[in-house]
Amino acid sequence: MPARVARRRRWATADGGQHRRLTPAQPRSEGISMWGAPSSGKSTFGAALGVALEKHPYERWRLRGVDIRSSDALGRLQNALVHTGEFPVGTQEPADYNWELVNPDERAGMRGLLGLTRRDRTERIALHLRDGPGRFQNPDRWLDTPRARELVETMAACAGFIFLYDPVSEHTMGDSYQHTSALLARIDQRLGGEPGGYLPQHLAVCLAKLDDARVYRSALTATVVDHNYAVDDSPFVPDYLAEEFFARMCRASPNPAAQELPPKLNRYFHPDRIRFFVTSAIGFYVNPSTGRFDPGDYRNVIAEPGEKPKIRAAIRPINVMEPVLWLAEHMKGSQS
Amino acid sequence: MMVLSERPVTITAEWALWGKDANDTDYRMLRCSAGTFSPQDFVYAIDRYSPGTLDVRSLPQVTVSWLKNPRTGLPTHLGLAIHETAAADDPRTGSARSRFDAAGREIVYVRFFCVPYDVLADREVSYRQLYHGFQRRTLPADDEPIAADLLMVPEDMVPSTAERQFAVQVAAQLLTTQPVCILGASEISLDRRLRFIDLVMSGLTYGTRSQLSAATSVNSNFTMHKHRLFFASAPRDDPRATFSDALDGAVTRSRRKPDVVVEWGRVDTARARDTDAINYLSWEGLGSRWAPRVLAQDTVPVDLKDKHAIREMLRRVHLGKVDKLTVQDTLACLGEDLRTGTGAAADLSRYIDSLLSKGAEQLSSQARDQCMRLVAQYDLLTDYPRVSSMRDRFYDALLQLVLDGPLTYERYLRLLDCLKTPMQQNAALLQALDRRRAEPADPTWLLVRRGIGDTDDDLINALAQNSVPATRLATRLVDDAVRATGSAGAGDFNSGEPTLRPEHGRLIFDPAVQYMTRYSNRDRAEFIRLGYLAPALDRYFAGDQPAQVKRAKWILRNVYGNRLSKRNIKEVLGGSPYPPTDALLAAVIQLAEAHAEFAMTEYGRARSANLVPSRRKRRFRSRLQVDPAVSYAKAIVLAVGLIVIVVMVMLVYLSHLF
Repeated sequence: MPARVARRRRWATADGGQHRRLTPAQPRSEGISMWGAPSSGKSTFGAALGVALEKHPYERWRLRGVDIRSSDALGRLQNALVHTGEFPVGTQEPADYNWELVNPDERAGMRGLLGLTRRDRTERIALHLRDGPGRFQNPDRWLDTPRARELVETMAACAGFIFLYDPVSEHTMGDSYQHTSALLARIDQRLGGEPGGYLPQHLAVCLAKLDDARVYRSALTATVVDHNYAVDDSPFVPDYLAEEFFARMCRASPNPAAQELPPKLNRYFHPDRIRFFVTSAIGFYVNPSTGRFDPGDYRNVIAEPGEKPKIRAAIRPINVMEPVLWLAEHMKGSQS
Repeated sequence: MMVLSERPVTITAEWALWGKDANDTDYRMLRCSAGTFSPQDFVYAIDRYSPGTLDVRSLPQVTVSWLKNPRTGLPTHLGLAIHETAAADDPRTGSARSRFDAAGREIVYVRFFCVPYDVLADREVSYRQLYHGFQRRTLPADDEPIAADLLMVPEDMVPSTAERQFAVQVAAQLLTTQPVCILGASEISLDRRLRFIDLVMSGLTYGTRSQLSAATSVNSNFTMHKHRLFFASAPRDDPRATFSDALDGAVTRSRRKPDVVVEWGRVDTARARDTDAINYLSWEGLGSRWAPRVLAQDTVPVDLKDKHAIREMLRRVHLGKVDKLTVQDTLACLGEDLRTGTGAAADLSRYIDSLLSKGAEQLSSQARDQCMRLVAQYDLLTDYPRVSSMRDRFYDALLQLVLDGPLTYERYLRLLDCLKTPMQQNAALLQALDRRRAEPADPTWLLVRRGIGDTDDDLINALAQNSVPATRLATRLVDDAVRATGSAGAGDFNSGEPTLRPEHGRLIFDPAVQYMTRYSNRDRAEFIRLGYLAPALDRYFAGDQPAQVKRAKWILRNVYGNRLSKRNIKEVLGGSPYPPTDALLAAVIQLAEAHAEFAMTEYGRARSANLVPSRRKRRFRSRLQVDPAVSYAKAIVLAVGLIVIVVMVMLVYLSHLF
């Protein structure tokens, strides 16, 4: 019996007694949970996902809400980022989004040579995204509260994680290791005894806020930056260099514990199920007149003292879609 | 809905402030009061009843909750949380709180207040009152609990009948033990949402508030929230994500019961199927104005997750009757129903029966004064067509409460103060007053009979039938007139009673005089004693000389005949204890034209009798009052005159000698 099915059946009967049964219409319990320290950009990442999909020059994926609340949230989050240029407010309580990645089939319904209607080959990948506040992962303050326990339960039932590591916030707060370590321990305890000894989930490690000047300069220093010359010259960190850059940024943290993050993640997750990305939810500023990236003027956030930070121009997410698609593809693969 | 006294209720609350400082990246407890609850208790309550991440543009929003006493473990306190931003233009918060956190994100603060449930239950405090009481309350810098005045919150808009019906249906849905989610209310203000929550809860016993969590807004994507009644923009449950459970029915993935989702204002979306909900909807009090007040008196804590507690509550609810209300509340319900034209006829009848039975009991003067104020406030003594079929009972019940005994003139005047329309327009009220007369000789009764439409002859006959002494009413008229003008009276008849108002005296003057004339055998001595009722005429017909003269003439003609002799004139104008009036003089002159000068002389003498002293007195007084200057002058003149005379006599004498 596949581990995932076994886990699902276990959940279905856990605590509820043998009389509880699932209806045939029950959606898959698998979803993607995000975690990261407070203000690491989890909500902004979720908000930018739809835009990233829509802006991608080659991919035809798009995001849709499965239910009304998720659909409304999708519209609201995107509108805030794109139209009003505002960042989402800090998450106070966990938010669940039932989204679906859709890759449309352009030729669905068309008639072939023999007059037969072509089968619809639209790809659909369920994406149950959970955006929880960072404080619930703090072992000193929150991990024992009922709400945090509930969060752990839900995360344990997920098929994939997105871990957002914000080097800017880490530099001032130094709390990423603290949040990650306690949470993983709890999830591991909850799932305990998985075949192979690893956690069964896939993990996308996202080093966030590449657009921040400090992170960008660090990337330049580390010589991990490449440029998207085919589009607008905007910089990015290729995936094969992401792990190295992540480790480097962990080492740069004033909190020495952060250096332990890469090995810890590798201990908990199977090497085939972990992948590193360097992301930016809003991307770099690109001069509208030239349409090219300008190394002397690339900040896409205007932050005046005492004012709410505003997004300067259109957002150009970097590596936001990729981790989600990677997770979704693997989740899909494991479900089939 | 709740009835609070108009005086503010001061309550003490423990409090906590939740949010961030400018250097924080995540939320935490900023400060709190020291008392029953520890900071951990506050954190637990704020987190447990959080509405999720709210759009800052929709703030402020309110959540209500309950807390267990950490020592006893019993639900003893209600919590009210105000979720708000530290807007820069808010003088309460702008200077003290940071608007943005370390990451530049706008901070949503939570001011949390908790108050003992017992205190609120005693005073039947609504959530809206709590909110308005705490809204402008600044949190102290120290950790002392705060006191807040809860006032009656003005109702800027009365809930419509449709809204009430919807609230009843939502209340019924709460009895299913499932959370109730209200959609489609995005345009509804916070105050109205809060009022609606109060409206829903006023349909259940007050005790259900003891363990209720409700929110004026929740984030639907925060699916783990614990609110039992809440407003949201979208349902949180996916209908496909429910499970059937052999014991408890449907459950969601997180093993809680799925929400009952209703659309704002649409009763059809809130139809009850649960047996307890249907049982509740069969209660006769539902939709009535009295029901919330009866329910507010039932403060036994009820857990809306517990079917057993719900059924026990329903049993008590079905015993709820109008009789359980206080007299004041019953009057207020009756007044509101009549004023707004709402409420069933059966309810009106119930109110009246209850008032009749309660009014017979002894009421405190304070309660009676409150009743009087309510009667005046709702103008209950007006002729309401809706009570036409039960008018007699209606007015009997009201008069019993207001009059506190038989009808006297003082009570009659109090009654008039409660009326906004002339009493003559309300025959049923007058008839009810007629039934409560004290004695036939009381002028109030005559006023009532006059209002009903009795003529002078009817009144005279009625007085005669009741063997009222002939001069009784006339004496009252004169005495009141004299008392009112401040001069000495002929007797101390009813000296504690208010004097008759001119408009009332005018109404009963004619029958009183006619009755006296007819049944006292034109006793001249009595007329003289009463001054031919001239003082009464002067007061009750003030400014109307012709009316006074006409009536004085009529009296004199009945006493003396058509002509007056000088002796009669002297008796009329100078023989009574009261000074004659101009009208009396005019009447005398008209009846004795030949003696007009004599009459005027006598009139002047009588009028000045008390003012002009007698000759002897005048002389005596003149002796006493001699001006020294005048006396010296006189003495000099006399001396000079004497000297002149002496000199002349001497000159004459000397001329004879020489």
